[in-house]
Amino acid sequence: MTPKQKLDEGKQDANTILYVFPKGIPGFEQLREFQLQEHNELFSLFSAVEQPATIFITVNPFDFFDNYEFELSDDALEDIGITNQEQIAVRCICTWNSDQSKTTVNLLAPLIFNIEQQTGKQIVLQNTDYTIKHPLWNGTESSKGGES
Amino acid sequence: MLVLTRKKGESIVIQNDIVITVLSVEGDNVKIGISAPKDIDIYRKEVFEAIQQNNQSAVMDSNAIQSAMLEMDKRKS
Repeated sequence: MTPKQKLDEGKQDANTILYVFPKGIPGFEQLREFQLQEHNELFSLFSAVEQPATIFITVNPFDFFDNYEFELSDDALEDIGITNQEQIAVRCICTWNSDQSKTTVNLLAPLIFNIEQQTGKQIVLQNTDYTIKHPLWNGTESSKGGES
Repeated sequence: MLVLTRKKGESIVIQNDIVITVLSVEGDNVKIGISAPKDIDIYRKEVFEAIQQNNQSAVMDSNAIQSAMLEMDKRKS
């Protein structure tokens, strides 16, 4: 199976969930609907429904950074209708590089999903040291650093 | 750009429900309080621009994703 076939088939399978982002995401404010497709145990593909060629590689930050933590403001939770923790899924956008040591992950602005209502938002964390370009493969020890 | 002069403790109202108050002024630093409806997002401009740019550089097209998927499969273990 080629990756292309895999991508096309994935659009229909149960691992793909459609989410509405009421305000888009920064830099792509005009896009509202995104689908999140699990690619394998570590990676998922986050793509714009209206522009299927617009694809982001995302990871669950807790798979990579044991100590990753943040607090969501009430306003942020309310924005996408989250009332309890079980509704929340988190993914962070990777900036992929064929040189793996240069692949980075945006820990400062995670994507927050309400998996029940299928809404989402990219949140910008306040009062944190996490950066937008954290090396993905550095292990768990240095998941913080730099200035927010 | 509209330019207004305000003293510490004074405010500006935008569109009925956004209130910006100068809380303190110390040298080059101005501390500003913002009261706005919950659906209005407020960011430091340079942080917001950095995230816009980071998203734009992270986006991949259908071709780029093909080769990345092969690498992702190698990387999962």
